[in-house]
Amino acid sequence: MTNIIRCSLLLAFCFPWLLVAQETGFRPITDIGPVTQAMVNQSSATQSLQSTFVQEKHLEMLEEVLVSHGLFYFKKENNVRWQYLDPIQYTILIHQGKFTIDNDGKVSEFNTNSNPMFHEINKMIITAIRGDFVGNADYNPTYFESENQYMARLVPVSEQVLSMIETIDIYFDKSGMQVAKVVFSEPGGDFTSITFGDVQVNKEIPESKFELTN
Amino acid sequence: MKFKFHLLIAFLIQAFLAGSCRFSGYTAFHKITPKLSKPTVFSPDFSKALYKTELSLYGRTITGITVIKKVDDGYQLAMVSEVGLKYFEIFFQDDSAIAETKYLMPVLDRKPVKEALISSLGLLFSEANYNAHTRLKVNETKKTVLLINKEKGSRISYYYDPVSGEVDQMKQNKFFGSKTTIKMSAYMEDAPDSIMVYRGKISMHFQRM
Repeated sequence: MTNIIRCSLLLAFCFPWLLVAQETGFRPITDIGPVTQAMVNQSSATQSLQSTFVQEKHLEMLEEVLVSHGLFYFKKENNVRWQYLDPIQYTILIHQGKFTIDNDGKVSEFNTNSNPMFHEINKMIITAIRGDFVGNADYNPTYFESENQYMARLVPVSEQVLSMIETIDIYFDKSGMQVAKVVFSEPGGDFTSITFGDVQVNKEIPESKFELTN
Repeated sequence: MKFKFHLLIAFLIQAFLAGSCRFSGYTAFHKITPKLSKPTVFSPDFSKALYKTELSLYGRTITGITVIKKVDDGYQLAMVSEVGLKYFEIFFQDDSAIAETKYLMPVLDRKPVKEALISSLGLLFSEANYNAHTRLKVNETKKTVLLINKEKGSRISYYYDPVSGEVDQMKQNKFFGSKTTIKMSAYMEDAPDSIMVYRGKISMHFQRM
């Protein structure tokens, strides 16, 4: 009888963890050398990238997920257009060292260092796309794989960043080694996932995409 | 010396007159009729709302989306940036001044910012009291009632529609401390469409999505 209770307790304790493991389907990679090399190779070969994205914000306090859609453009070295189309119109541009925001027609220019949080997010996204986290002292990475994807889990080293973002999970498709999804997990259980779709690599992006013309 | 004394008296009289005219256009409302609604910002059937938000703090502006959700014993309020990161999350308990900061981004975690957020946003969820200290006034058109609550060194004024109870404006004056003004407009069934909060060097604009 005691054994049955022990087994039940053990199962009750382990069951949620078994479910998580099944759901994610990712296991640690033992030999990371070839994987990180493939990431670095792909990132060096990527001159430009454009895609759609779906951003999902999961708040512990809210059952519903806050969903945003938009377009993403990246061109080496550090040109980014991060354009939200729905439900809000909001565009972030990083071009020639300038950081510009178009908030529904209201344009503001910033120094990237004036908004530490945003500076960090952009740095992380560019880091993910360029594969800079391999050997980057700002993060402690661990690597996982599933049948179709690799996942790099980055833990920020900086205490200040860590107080905003606990982990950054970057998912790569094994087929093309392109970033498929980025998940930012915050302290307290909230997280944001950004899933990229219709990814086009090295397709010409005009300079005008990185300028706000209104 | 006599001349200076006269100046002082004149100044005091002027200050008194200015003070007495603070609610000019409003006359005392002696009878509370059953038809008079209570001032309401979020109606009893309010469950949740999303607001596009612009928060200006000491000359710096941050933008994002604010979620306000009614829970069993109060309101949860969280502001997240467009890119998804949470700036702050505060819980305001029903019918009391109790607020719990569940999260505040480290760059915002400064005493004056925290106090301003709690104090001004808490005002949105405060319920008007009817007691011996409550004063009621009505404007000339009878379309706006002014309810004044005085307690603990502060005075809260609610300007509202006597029929629907919808609050147009709230003001909090503290004997020691900043003055807060909140303007609300375009009520959409259960909550205002637009909320503007002013408190010293901090302002917030919420536009319902």
